[in-house]
Amino acid sequence: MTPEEWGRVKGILDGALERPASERAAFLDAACGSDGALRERVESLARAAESDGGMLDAENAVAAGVEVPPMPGRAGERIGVYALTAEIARGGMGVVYLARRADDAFERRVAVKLMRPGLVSEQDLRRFRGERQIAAGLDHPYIARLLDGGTTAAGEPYLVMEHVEGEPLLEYCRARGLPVRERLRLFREICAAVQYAHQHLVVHRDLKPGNVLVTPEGTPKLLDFGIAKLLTEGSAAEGADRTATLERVLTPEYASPEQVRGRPVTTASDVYSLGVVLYELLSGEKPYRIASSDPAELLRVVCEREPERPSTRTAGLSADLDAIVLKAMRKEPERRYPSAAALSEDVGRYLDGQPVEARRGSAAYRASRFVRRHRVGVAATALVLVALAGGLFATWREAARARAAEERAERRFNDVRRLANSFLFEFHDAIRDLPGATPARALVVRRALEYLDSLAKESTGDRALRRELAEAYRRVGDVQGNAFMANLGDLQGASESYRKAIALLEPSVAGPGDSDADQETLATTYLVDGGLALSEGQAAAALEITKKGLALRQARAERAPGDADRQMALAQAWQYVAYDATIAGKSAEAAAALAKQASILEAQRLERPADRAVRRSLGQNAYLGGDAAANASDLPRALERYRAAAEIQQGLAAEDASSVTFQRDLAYSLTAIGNTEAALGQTAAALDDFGRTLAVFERMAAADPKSTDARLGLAMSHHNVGQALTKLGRPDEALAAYRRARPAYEAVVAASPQAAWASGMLGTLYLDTADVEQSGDPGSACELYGKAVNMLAPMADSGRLEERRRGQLERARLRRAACHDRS
Amino acid sequence: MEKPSGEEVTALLKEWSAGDRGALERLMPLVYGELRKLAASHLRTERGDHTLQPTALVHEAYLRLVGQRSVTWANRAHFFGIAAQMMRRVLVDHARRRQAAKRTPGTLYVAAGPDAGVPDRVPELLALDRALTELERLDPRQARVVELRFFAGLSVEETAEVAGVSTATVKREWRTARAFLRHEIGLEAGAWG
Repeated sequence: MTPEEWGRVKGILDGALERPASERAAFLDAACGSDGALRERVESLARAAESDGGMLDAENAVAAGVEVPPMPGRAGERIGVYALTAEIARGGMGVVYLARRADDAFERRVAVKLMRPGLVSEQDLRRFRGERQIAAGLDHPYIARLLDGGTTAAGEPYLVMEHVEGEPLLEYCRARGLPVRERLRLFREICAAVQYAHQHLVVHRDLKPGNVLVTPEGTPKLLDFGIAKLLTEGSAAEGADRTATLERVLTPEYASPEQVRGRPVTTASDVYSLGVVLYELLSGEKPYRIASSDPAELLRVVCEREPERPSTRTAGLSADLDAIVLKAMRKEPERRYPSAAALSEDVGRYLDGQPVEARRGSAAYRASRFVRRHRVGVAATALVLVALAGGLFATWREAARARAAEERAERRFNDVRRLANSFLFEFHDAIRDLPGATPARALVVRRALEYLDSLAKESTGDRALRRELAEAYRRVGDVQGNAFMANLGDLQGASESYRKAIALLEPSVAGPGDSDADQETLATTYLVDGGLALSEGQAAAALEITKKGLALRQARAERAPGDADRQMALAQAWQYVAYDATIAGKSAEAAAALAKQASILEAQRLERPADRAVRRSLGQNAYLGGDAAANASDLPRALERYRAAAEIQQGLAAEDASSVTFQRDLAYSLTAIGNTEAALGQTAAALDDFGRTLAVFERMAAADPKSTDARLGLAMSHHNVGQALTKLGRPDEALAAYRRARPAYEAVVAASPQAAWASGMLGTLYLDTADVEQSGDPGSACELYGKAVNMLAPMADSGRLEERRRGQLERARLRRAACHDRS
Repeated sequence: MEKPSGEEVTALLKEWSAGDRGALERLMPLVYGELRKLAASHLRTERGDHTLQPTALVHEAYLRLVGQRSVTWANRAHFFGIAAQMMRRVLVDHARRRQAAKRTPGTLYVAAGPDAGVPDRVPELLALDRALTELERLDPRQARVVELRFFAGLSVEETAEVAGVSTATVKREWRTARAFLRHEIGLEAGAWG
């Protein structure tokens, strides 16, 4: 074909491929005319275009599975005093080259192992030098000596080792058809080398047949002693990346349960790996085939599955050898041979025809593990044994297979259920108040929702499960956006989760039967959902939802009047009603609710004076009393209530400094005190109290820089400080404070536009800043008035603007209009 | 090999676009080495699921070599063009070596390492390379599109940008090129009689 011909073919081919198959013939008739060869060519190409299979199906070469060379070929290159001559091996850690000392008078061949870039960090390298000293100290005929090491000019770490001419263990045995006794003698030599290293405090960590070369004289040489440690313990890779490194570097088939779990590795881990090596040496097969790269699967197989006896894989192996291998491979390190030497001795006993140590107690061991794993199944198994005797083996096996499938399905369901629960109720609660936990909590939420949604699909009918699920959804919602807790600021997500919980529960509560537990879960969900509505600026709706929760809790308290928990739950519901009523502007209703709450709490305090939950609630009660008084314009009473709250909270925060909850309670009361003082004209005192608030939020933000709560609190405090400074006639300092407030508000509003509180605050901040800027920088002031209007007006339009900010919006509009007039 | 500085690469790109063929010769090994290193470290973490995107590699190599600042578009386009050619060369050279190594009976010990079980793409890749060389002769621009899409892993949009053509053109070129290449590979294998 010529380029011209291809141009023509391509044009027609393109037209043909563009058309549906039904129209193609007609198109080709017209395009090719009587040129039969052309038409044939196009048709052939079109068939090729529509055939599949082959690498061109993939998006690109790497996706098609084309191998990318891990490292450039380096033969001929010089590293330090070593000249690389040829590549001899390639593995997870890097490439091994044959090399010779370029400056040596006598020819000395060595192996240079170049690590893959990225596996080892600077820090590791420093540690590596120390490790190298230790490993280099190993001097044993069966251990390949580590001679040197360092980093290349390009920063790749390398190791120089004694060059071993030999074959990998299994190939050596296979090629020579080595009998079992010979294999065992070789294995004992390997054990001796491992024992020697252990006595010199070096653990191999990556023992596998590939790391044992056997020289033509039949001497084993162990490679890479102590090197795996360098790669698996370092800080080069963290988290997932590190796991990947680990999987890649360690060969999962030979790794011990404790290694797979990431637990500390000891000499017992090498004993385990020796057991696996022996398994393969005897049976020719690995104990497990780990096909999946899923870490959970790896964990399950290595940590839970009992290996089959090697004799089941190959004929003629003695039960003694089974026992030895299985003892070395026990899941629990303390039940293995205490040392490589002890393992070797037992093999020696077998070779000498003496009874082996491993047989002692191994039947009991197996039985105990069996019972532990199949508690329910044991009785059934006894029956099955009878059946077996009666020759019903095949029947039994069929039944067992069916039952196993059923059990697996149920176990899976329960696993997922337990996982969802443990994530939420244990893991999340454990980290909830820990500073710095925000990203971890977000991850918990994502994972938990995945599990819950999949469980919810299968939950129909089972009432207990529905409640469990609802509870779990509610907790997820809390973490996402409960305004009363440190949350992730995902109000939309929270609202969805709450709705799912309510939908699961309402039918149970309305339906027949005892629904006490469902009622409590539903009550709690209503209460937090009310809080969420409040965060979204819908105070009236919030109050209605919250009262639904109150009604349920009242009913529960009446059913069991002496139950302290129910009393506390009821007190809390009253508090939420009071809070919502205050925000909704219903001060009389709020005051009545607070009085109800206070009387319940005082009664509880008499019974349990040190109880922190009771004290915290009393603090909140006082705080809300302050809010109610402030709303009724009784500022002196408000100040008194806020101070009462702060006093209680100061005590709690001092008792438990690590609790974010107590810190936040205190910060809010101090803010309220400052605001009230400012309103009373006590600006200097207000400035002091805002300063104290700032300090509390700074502590919180320092502990958890990602916490939305702490950042908003900081912004609010700077904002308040700025307002006080403005009043005190210190505009420059005020502007500086406002500038500090802005980024956090803006970030929160950008991330969660429906966060009414932050949006309102930001609007006010623009306005406040503009007011100060007006005398110095009118242009910037005008721009800020515009921003204030743009922020507040949509909120007013959707009914989410608080009463007190309506005037601010009006003012911002007037000022902006004045700017337009001037220009 | 010392890591080349961003300035060095930028300067070489400029010289090359000004017509200095020698600059390309000096540039190739720099990019080549960088790509290989990146590919190696990516494969290490991505192993098994083939999610490694050469695009990511090439972009990353670009950032590492040239840096983000003060880079004109022409440089970027040149870079991706070179990188695509290089990815092709890297992969094909490696495949050839593998094939050669397999032919020699086991004199050298090659660990049955992490590569065991990966489907052998070597013969097909080499056939593809030959077919692409033929396409290069017939239609150099179309061959470039294949290199950018298949070897550098660029998206249709990115390819259009780098090649300076419309996305519709890229789609058309890719589709007909794929037909051509499949056909050629099939001819080698005797599939289309």
